[in-house]
Amino acid sequence: MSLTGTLDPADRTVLDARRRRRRYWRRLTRDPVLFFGMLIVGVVVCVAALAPAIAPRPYDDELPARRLLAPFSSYNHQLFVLGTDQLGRDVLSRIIYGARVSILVGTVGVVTGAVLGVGVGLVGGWFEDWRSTLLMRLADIQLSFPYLLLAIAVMAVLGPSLLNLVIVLGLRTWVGFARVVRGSVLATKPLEFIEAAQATGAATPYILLRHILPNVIGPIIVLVTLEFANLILLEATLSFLGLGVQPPFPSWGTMLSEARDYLFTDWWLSIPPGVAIMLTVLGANLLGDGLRDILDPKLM
Amino acid sequence: MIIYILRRLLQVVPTLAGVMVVVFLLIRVSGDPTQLLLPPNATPADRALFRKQHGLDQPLAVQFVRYVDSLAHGDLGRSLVDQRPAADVVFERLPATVELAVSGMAIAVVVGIPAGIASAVWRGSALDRLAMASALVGQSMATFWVGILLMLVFAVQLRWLPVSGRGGVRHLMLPAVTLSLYIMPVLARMTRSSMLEVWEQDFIRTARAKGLRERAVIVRHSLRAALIPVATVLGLQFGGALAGAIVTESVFSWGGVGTLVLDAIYKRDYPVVQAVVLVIAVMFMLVNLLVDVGYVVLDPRIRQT
Repeated sequence: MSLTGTLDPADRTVLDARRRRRRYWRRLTRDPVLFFGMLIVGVVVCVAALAPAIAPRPYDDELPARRLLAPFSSYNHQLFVLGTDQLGRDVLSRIIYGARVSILVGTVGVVTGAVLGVGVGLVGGWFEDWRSTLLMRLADIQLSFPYLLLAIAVMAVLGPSLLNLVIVLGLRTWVGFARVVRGSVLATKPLEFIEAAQATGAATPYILLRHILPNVIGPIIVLVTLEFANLILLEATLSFLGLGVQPPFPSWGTMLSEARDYLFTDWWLSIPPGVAIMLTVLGANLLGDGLRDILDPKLM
Repeated sequence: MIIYILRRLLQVVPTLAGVMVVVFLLIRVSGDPTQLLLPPNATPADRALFRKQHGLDQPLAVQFVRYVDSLAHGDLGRSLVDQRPAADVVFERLPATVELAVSGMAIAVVVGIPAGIASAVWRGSALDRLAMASALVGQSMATFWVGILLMLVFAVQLRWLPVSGRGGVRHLMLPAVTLSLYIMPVLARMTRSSMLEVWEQDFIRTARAKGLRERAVIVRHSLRAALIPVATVLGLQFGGALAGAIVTESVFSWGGVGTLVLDAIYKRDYPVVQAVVLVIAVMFMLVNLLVDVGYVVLDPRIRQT
């Protein structure tokens, strides 16, 4: 305060904002949890985006003559770092293309869930009448199923496809967002600045979006990263059970399900997809934990 | 206290109704239920007859009332594969899943809660860091991959334990440990943060101020308060355990409802799929109800409200 005492108030807010931003940035780069989280997620996103450029060969390049090569073996003077699978496809290339499925499904799923959940939370928190009760009951009903079972049943009825997968994953996360946003709306609504906004004649949607939503943006960002991690696991699980991404397109879960048949003879096939899933999910979890420490100390 | 329990029981009604609506719509959402409920080679005449017999030509509301009515009589439909009542098929497989889920949860509780307490007591120590880092890594591993790895090491390489199937304790060990590793991280992290939160409270400061030994503060004063939120998580994790059991069963060919539902999907036996979803959802609801009622016993504060 003493430093900025001579500045006029407008300059002071600019300076404060700049200083705050710099402090955030310093924490982003110095906190190891956050740093490794960003690094891992960043690498996986880049791998997914650049897959055709960095993969040594196409993901569906089959050749029976070179099937089930061990890691680091060569065939025809070409090195296969992670070996080949039962159809002679390069495991490394399939891992690289598999990142596309995880990132795509995780991102679209979490955005769908967030948009839906934030909408429900805003409406459910603002209108404390039957609308609120109805929406929150819907959330309870969804929570009363182990979601994996519901997802399995829905995928079985609708049939496995990328679109259905995204729908099922998107519906997984809305409840969390709705609850956080609703809680924040309930806490903010009685405050004076909301009353002031109403007194100036602001429309309800405007108040919700401009005055209430910004208060809850921190927890939403944290939830986005953590749910992203959960969705990647859920996609891998559904694909492992044969209800997710369909062959020949590679998903890490599908690769593990195929590798299981060769556990006795070619066990190394089961390692790379599992490590890929673990690292990606770990990265997103680290990112979420790190962001939570900065943005929202209260959230568990 | 009784009023609280009654009120909680009443809350089950709308949720149960919702569960029934979801399961009811599940089969009908795809348009023509006869495509799902009859074998693919059924003739149009068969389909028409089936529709008439099962009232599928009636309005949805009428169908729903009939569906609820048949549920009330314990009728969950018939398996298309062997024509047996779907309820019998499910309940025959249920004990295997419960056995797996309960042993998995038991291992998770026995290891996870003490780990969480130790982490909280020696906060910031190497032990705490190790425990929390393992929890984070454990949370990031796919259950089925953990199962595959355990199988690879202990069954395929070392040959200490059987690869799959159901039998005695030796058969149970790998699947139960796999499932426990799915629940343990959440439990350990939750216990730790709950303990740390309790220590901020006034009654702990009072206990310390009156000169109680640290041991007494931890065991007698903190644990009881700290374990209440853990109990809720445990109830919710039971659903997680059931879901995790489906995947674990499929890795280890464990003959429970998990393999049943996957098998039923593969054979397009939708009445059985429907029955499994309903039975598991109702079980999950009952467990959470029990947890909530159990609270009243654990936490005197709830009795007053």
